[in-house]
Amino acid sequence: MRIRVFSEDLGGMQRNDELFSALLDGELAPDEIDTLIAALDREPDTAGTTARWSAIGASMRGQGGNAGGIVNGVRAAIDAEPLKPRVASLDAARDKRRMSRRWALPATGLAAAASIALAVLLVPVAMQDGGPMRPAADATGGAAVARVADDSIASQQVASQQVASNSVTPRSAPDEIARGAREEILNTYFIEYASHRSAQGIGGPLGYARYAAHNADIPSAQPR
Amino acid sequence: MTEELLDEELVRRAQEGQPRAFDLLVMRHQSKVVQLVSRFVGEGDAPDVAQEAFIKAYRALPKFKGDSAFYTWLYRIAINTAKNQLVSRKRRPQAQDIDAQDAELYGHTEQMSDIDTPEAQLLTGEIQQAVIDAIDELPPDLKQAITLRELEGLSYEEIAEAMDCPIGTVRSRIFRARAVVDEVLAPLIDKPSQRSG
Repeated sequence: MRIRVFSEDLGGMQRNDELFSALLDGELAPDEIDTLIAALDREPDTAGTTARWSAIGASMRGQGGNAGGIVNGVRAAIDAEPLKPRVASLDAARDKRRMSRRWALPATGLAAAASIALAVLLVPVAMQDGGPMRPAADATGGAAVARVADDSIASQQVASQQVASNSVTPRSAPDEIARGAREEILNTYFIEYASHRSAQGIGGPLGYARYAAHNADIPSAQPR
Repeated sequence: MTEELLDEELVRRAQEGQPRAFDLLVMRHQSKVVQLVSRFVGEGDAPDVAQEAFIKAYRALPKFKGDSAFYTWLYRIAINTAKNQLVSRKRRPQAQDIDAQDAELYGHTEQMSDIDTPEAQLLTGEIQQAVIDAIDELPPDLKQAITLRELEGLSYEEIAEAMDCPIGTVRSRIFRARAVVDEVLAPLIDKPSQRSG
């Protein structure tokens, strides 16, 4: 058994023991953790000592006495299967995010171009349905297309398409309620999406075109 | 650094591939985990179950994101490990269901007497008496420091204020008190392990 000298002038080994005592109380400075880790490599028996120190506190509180020195058993298992450092996975996740950002920019551009093209195609169709759209000549211009995305026009477009589809297929009241709820969700989505994209410098047509395309798909998806 | 922050720092280091940091976590929490699982499986099997719980915690450590305190997470693993142990023995848990967050609040209850062998109870009583006697014989400053820490749960800063001395002195006094009591305790605690192995 190691003989301890209890003096105020602490030697290296005793100072480490004092740090282990402070560890149990959660009273360590971050740089002292390194000292303890190095000490643990040099003196693995310290684990048993700290287990007994814990038992002292438990006994004083009347909570049983034997803490059981389990550190060595746990350590043997740990040494057999070291953890894969988390830093590596964090780096991998960061690389993945960087890659996805690299693709995101051209993809956004493509999506914007496709949306504008779709809007140009859909505007004349909508006009044939009698919707209160602006002249097709305006819609071909960038500024005009941006105006098309105006919320009020979009909601009017929803109403006109609803009327058109209702005239083709009669629906029951629950269908109408469900459709209304869906329209409401889509409308909210459109408004939020359009404002979000415009904040990023991409105007309303993208949101409108997506909305219109989605809306156009709904009748074909309905069971007849 | 608070206890919770210290745990966070040790967890971070262990996640970064420093296994000794996890050893320090085991040292910090082994006593409470052993006591907790002993309520389910008895004091005899508690060290083995606690060890299994720590190994499970180590394996799961990469998934620990710090949403809860480390000890809460660890205690949950320990309780599940103890319950699984009982199921594998086809026994009902002796202890009432204890939530991990409540685990610290429970003392060493009377229910222990149903699980522990007379030998284990005798040893526990023997250890407790030895500790109380050794504490009584400590110099007053050491006795006061260890009592304020272990029974009142005060931080070093609070103890320093109460005893009107620097924090470094508090740290030293608590260590010295433990070391003195350990001289009495070590032969008692090492006795069962010498018998068994």
